[in-house]
Amino acid sequence: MRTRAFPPAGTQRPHTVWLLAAIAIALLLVACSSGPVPIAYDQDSCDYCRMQISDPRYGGELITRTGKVHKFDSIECLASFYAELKDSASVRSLWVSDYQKPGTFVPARQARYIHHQGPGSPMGRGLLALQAGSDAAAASVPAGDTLSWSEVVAMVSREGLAPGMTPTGAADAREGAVDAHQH
Amino acid sequence: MHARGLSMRTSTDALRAVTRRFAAAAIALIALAPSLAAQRTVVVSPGGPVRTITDGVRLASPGDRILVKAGTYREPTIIVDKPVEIEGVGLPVLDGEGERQIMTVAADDVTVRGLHFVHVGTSYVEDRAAIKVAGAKGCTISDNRFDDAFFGIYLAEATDCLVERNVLHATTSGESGSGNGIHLWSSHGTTIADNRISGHRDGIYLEFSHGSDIHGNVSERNLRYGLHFMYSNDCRYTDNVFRDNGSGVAVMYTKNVTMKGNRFEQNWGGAAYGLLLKEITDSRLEGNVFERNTTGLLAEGANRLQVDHNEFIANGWAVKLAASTMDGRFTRNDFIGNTFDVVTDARQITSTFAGNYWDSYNGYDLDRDGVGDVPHWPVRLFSLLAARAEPALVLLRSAFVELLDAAERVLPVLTPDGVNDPRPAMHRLT
Repeated sequence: MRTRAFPPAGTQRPHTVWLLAAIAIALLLVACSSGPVPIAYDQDSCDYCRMQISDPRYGGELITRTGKVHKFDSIECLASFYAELKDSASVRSLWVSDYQKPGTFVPARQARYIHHQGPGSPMGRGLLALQAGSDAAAASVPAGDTLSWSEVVAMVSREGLAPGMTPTGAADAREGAVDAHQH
Repeated sequence: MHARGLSMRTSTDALRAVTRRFAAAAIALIALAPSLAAQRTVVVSPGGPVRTITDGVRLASPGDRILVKAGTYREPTIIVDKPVEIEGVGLPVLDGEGERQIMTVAADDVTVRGLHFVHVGTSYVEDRAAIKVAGAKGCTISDNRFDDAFFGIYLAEATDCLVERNVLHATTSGESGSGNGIHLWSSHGTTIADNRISGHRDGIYLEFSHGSDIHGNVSERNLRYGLHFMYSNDCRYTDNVFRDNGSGVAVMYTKNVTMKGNRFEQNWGGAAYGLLLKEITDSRLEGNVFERNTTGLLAEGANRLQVDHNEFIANGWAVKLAASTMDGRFTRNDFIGNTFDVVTDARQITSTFAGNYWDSYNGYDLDRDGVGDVPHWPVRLFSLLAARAEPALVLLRSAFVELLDAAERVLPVLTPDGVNDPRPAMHRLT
């Protein structure tokens, strides 16, 4: 009777396992919802350039397989971060703000990009994103070249964040690596 | 005979006098003529013959002065397309009624002085401003007031302009706060002096604008940055006050910046700092005060930075150095009353510290030469732990942490080896 009332430690283990399994599944489900997370404007800062994110027309997000959300103030910062990743397979999804619907996201790989000259985007590249199939000729959209996601990535890899300004050490900063600079 | 002679002399005298007077008048006329031609004054007033500033500009010739009398002016965007001086008397109000840019300057050598710009109105489509200078040289914008503007003063591809003694205030709660106070894009050789800016997104913003001189300004309570530099080489900013801004001041992606005699104070918040240096090269920080900020100075990718004679007082973290910051030199600075003096995420750093005053220094000066006889190690072990697990900060004042730090001081194991001041000063330096 005593053993039944107080079962030995061993018999408790299956319950613990089930509990752990349930928690694991719950966590997995949470992690699986890979949609974009709203940016807290004027509070969150960009994971590439460290600037506070404040313009809802230009933001971006990168979500990793482990569920970590990286937020960016501009398309050029998202693309630069992505281009410098050592393991691009770790990326679950990429999102960019819809210029015509500030604060909402569209998948980065499907979006159309306009590269215009002149002031506007937070890092000065003049890149903005539109939902595929939207009216790029609308009066509210600055005129410029149309690019795809891979062309945007190629451009920032080639020229850096802004024309004539090559990023130095930004990737190392993120990795926290000192080895790269040990001459 | 006598009488005749007298009368003749009299008449000759009179003739001479008339000739002299005429000549003098002619000379005066010749002397005055060019100045009269160069600057006439057109008077604009609500009740007078010229009632809008647009008409004033239309009637004026290059070089003229347009005097705007007190009153309220509501008119379509004023285009200033010739070199004129527009001067307000008694602070006349130019009202954008929340729906338009108020003034566009599109000519060289325009002066705008003594006007009060109000209600520009937010736009997502264009960067509307109270005054926008586009592609012009040598403008002067001084002694104006701006209330509830979206962007206040916007210089785009403007060269050698002077912006001084303006007061810009946006209501932080409203949408108007989402534009910058003084905004420079691709504008070189600008002087920005003695302005007061509050409530905007960034107080002063520079992008692709080289060779600026920014001094004597007070930029406070702006939503994001008091001052924000991007891609703007060879600039100086001296004797400014940056207080209580959302995130502090950011100097990014820039070479050769001189920062002297500024105050960075009261920037509190999770991601707030006195000064963020991000990807900058060959810059100097001298004689500045960093007081009561969450982080005083945050340097990421800041190379060959010289930090000399500054005061770091009562900050959470006085200096945060990211691993990517190379070859910085910290000399003769005061570190007083900070929770943590220096923290870094690197195991080894290439920056050096020498001759600073640290109030946390526990060493001694037996030879009384004012220099501590043993080095000071400013990175506390606990600051490294706290950087990895922020909730651990609740243990900050506990006996356990004091013990941990003491043990680490005696036998450094985890704290970065290179971060030490071999010649710590025994007394304050500033």
